[in-house]
Amino acid sequence: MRTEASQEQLRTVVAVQGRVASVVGGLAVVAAPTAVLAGEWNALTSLAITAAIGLGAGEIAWRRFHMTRELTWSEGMVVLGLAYPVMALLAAIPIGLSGHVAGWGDAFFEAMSGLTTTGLSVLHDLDHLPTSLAIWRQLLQLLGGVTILIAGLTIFTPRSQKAYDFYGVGGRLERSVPGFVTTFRHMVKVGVAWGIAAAVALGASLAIAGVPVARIPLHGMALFTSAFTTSGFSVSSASVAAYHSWSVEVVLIVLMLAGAIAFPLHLILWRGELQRFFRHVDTRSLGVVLLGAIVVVLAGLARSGAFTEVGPMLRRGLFLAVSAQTTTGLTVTEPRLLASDWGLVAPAGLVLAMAIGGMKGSTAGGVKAERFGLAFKGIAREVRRVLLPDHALVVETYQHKGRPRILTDAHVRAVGTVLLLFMTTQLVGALVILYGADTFDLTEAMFESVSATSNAGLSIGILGPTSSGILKLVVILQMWLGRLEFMAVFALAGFAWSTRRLPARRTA
Amino acid sequence: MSARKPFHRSTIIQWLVAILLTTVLVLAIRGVRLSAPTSDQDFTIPEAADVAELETTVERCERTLPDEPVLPDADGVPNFGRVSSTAVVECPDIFDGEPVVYVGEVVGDILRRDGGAWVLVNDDGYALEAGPAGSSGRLLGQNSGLSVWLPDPMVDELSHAGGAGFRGDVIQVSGTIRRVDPADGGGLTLRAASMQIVAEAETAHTPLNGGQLVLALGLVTIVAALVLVERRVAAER
Repeated sequence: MRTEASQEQLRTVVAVQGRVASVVGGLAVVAAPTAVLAGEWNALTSLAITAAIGLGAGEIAWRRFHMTRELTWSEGMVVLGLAYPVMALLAAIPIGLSGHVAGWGDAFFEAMSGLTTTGLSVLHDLDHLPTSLAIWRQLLQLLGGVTILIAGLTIFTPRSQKAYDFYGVGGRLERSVPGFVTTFRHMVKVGVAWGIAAAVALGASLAIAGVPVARIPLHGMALFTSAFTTSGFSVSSASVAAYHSWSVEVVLIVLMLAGAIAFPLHLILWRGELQRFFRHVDTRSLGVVLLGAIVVVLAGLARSGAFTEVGPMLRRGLFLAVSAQTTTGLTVTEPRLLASDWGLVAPAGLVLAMAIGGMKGSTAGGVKAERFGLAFKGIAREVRRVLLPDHALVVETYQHKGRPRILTDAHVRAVGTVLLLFMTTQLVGALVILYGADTFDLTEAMFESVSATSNAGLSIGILGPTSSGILKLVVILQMWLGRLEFMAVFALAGFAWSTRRLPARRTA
Repeated sequence: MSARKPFHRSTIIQWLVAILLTTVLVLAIRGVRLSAPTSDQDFTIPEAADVAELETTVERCERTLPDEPVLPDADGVPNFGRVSSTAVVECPDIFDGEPVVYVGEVVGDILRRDGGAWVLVNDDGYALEAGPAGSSGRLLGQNSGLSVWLPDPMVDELSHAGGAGFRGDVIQVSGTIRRVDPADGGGLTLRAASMQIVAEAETAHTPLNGGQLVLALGLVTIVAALVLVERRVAAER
């Protein structure tokens, strides 16, 4: 029975990966007209190769291994765990053929960074990158963001209590198909509404900043996709600093915050239920940690002595704090300045903000603000338990969906597990950085490692195209594990192990 | 019980064929990349000294201490001469408020406003030596540059900023470094007092990769045929 189930599972997983490949192929078709418009023929042929392989392999896989039933939760996790490498393999083709990376490993890194909405880059000479490939990178972020949101609505909506404790404390939606379709439509509606608002606001801000009119659509699209999907790729090596515009920065701060809000909460906002929105544990947790991050960063900047005026300090500090907290990675300062001119406290504040991250059910990374809030509630409960008499019943609650919920041991255990996994990954990553690069200290290594694991993408100038292969490999793993919050990758590893049990064909 | 053919190990031949095809495909893609033609344009700026030599005059500054001048002084006044963006970013404190000379390529967009323009000026290898990576095929790391404020008369001299398929104007700027420029909301900038064009912008030719074109056409044709056959077979079932 077990082996039959494994065969069925493998067929199902391959079939869904076929669909995943088709999506990347379709995305290449979407990007191709920009190559035609820009007269970038090599980019066009690279996108055509991607489209052909993605759509062809996808069609064949889907038809040969057709799904016969709905995915189980664990199969969904396996599919999701495998989807990112599969997408990245295909998405790496135009990047690898562009001549802006040293090898296929770097192309895979760049694709993985976009798809996991991280934004770290190993591209050479970004400032001369063909326009269509700049758009391709932005589209990868969009695809990665949509993937994780759909996963949040389906796969991360677990059907067992065990899984629910791990993933589903917040951001849980209807699990039936009609419920999913309705919610997905709402998601699209919310996304389009934000897109229209961003187009107007960014268009006006970019025009005021002096960006040539013909180039505003490219910059606007790039900034919107990066901020709203909390990704961080940019079309300029100077990122947002290239615009020298406070109005662009204000619009991006709003978009980054919107991107870090769970989509179920967007729906609550859409319905105008402000009180319910602000009472939600996600909103409160994010608000508190963001405020804390801003205070620490500004205090650090004041201590560093780099800024003599309050205005510029507030502008730089606020943008970077929001970018770190929402794990976006857009920046208004040269990465090395964080190490050379911002002292130690301000970068440490950014590290903490990135480690905690945004809300579950959004594209933001990190351990998530809600888990951080629940961890503190768990600590408060334990302290009260110690202080009160043995027979006292200690109950801690939190607000969810407008109602108080009891914090159970299972919740606290799940939160602790995720925290431990994140911290271990960050520390191991930092050790690898230190081992491979003698010129950087532990604080700088932690900055880069936390940024990768939290899918933030802010850099302190360590990771780049000339970094060692081992470091790039470790960062790929960090981005992948962090994006899927570990469990999907564990499920994939378990699945890969279980396929060893497949029997030889039985003879009649 | 499902009537569908079970997924067994004995279908290994099918898998081997799939692996073989994938390997051929990977080798073909790798091959077209390796055989990609490059432009033989010469983008070297003879007037611009090697930036790498300039960087050796600046050591890495301590993060928690005020930076100390390490560059040669002339009568007690720092005489930085031409600087690199890397040095300025590594030790912004020692350059703050100091006059410097900077040479680099204008890239991105020329943001005209308020009687001048903000430009990003890169002094990396692509700007002064190799030209755009996609054209020359030479990979020299990430871009590095400084934000420069140019007053209007200087902006009028610019013809084109660098970007896809273009090496932008290479300019030499004399000006003052602002570690935290209030006019830029606290950014690290160079405010130009004078500017001269060192090299005019020029198109960076990227030769068409014939092998890639053939591979793309071949794959699109094969995949279209395969998908049509698959769909016909499925319809007949």
